[in-house]
Amino acid sequence: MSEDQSIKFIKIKDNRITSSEGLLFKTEDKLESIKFMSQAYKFFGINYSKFFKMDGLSKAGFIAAELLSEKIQLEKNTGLIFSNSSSSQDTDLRFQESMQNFASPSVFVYTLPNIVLGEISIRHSIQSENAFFITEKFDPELMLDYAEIQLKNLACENVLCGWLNLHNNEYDVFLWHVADLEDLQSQRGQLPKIYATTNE
Amino acid sequence: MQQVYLKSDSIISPLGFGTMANLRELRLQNSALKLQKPTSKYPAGYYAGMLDEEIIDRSFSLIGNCEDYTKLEKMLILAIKDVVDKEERVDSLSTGLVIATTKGNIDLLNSNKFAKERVELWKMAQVVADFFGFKNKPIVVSNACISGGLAIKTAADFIKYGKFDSAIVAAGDLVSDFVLSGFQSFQAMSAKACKPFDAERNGISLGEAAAAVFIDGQTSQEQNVEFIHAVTTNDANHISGPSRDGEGLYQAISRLEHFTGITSEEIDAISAHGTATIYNDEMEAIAFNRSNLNDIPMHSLKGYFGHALGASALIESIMLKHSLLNNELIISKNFESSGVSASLNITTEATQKKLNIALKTASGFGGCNIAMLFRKTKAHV
Repeated sequence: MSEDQSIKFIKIKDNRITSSEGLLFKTEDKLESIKFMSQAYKFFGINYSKFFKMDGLSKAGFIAAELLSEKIQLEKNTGLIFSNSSSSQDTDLRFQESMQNFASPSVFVYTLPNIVLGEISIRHSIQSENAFFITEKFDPELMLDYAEIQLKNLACENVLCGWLNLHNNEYDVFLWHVADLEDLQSQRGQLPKIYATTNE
Repeated sequence: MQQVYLKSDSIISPLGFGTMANLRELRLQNSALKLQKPTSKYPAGYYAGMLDEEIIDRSFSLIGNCEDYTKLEKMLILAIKDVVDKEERVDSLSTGLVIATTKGNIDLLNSNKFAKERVELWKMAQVVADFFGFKNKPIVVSNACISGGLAIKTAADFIKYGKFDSAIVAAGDLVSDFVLSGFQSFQAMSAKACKPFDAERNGISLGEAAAAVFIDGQTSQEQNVEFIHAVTTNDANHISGPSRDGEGLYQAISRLEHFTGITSEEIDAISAHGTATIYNDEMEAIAFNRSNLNDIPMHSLKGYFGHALGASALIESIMLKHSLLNNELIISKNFESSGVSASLNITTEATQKKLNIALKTASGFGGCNIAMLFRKTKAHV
């Protein structure tokens, strides 16, 4: 096992879910985001009724956090520092469509990218720091820089970082855990490589 | 630990262009909230603070080509320009730019006037950065209604840890059909201009606005307001409803007091979120009560500006800064009699009072909360 495998992550892209330990789940066909996440939900035997009312972005973030939580401890003082490129655009378009007839409040609430932080917090009883940034591309340095400051300030004890993008039904999810400051420093420089790796 | 200061600022709202113009209207008890013309969707009309694009263009045409920028970009650029003009220390290489917004150019979703990409928040931020020639990639914060406050925290944190020497924090949001439909679908819109903390409050009024502030790691000769610290929390309770016991906001305030060593008794003024929905204001009242902040003078500025979503916490922090500098409590507009279960000291008369430390709070969808502390520093003469 190479050194960078010590980073605990979950990656969801191109019909595949992979972790630091390898492939966890895949579908043969290219499915649209919501269908793929629902299949994964069934495959992993997750039982959480709130899942079904979530939008695509939250479903993707929820499943990634769920799988990661089997390896690491998500707790009250886990900071959540996330980012993406397309904000909540997938759901924005759905809401825009619904506005023509019946504007749906249950869709509207998901027209903010940080709602997934709320969903993950509810599921894992996390009450710590929240931040959602928007960057054109995956920018782990921004998330790590912000995470480092929160850890140094003792604002949280560990951090769940996440890149969580959903655009034109293409999902690109990469969540990883920062256990402490030492862990964070060792991750710098490694993340772009891991994120870019086509998982075997 | 390095200290950071809130220096020049600007607010672009229906009440006026520039912080002083806005402050003057607040002192006169004028509100941006007006009854808008009925439409097929809103047959009774609705109260909102709307900024006419023609009025924006009158100012913007002096500094740029109006056709090249969206309405919100023009508002953001005007706010930032006002700040840049007053600050010699703004530097295209070492000054960071942090932009807060919830929906950005959402009004472009159904329009072909601009390239499709422009609806992306990072793109909008890049357009604004390019206008000023800022070399650092802008950082966009989009964290519901705490965005404007979280952007201040982000900039201050990055300055304290050396990522930037200084930063411009800007925030803006529009009253679009999109958000109007959304809040109406929630039945969260007030039939009248919103009445924060009042017994007859019945929902929010939306307002569009932009604002900017220069955050600096260097003090100056004149009296400054220091950003002390901020804490965010999540309710872990509900994604669209505030927690009944105010636990998330209470945690934010108590952790903030713990980290800074500042006690509730030392806080001189509070700028609450005060959206005027039944549940939000009640939740805040419970959280302030649990934090022993009942007697501290408090206001919500939503009765003046409406709820400017991602910009509101920045606008309200800027106003709080001026309250500290002027030793002046601003009236909580549209409050007559208390409609929350805990007693609060809502400001109903313009008051001159010595102020040193102030608390700003905000809460938003997704269960997020922020609490921030500001302190007036002494002049160095």
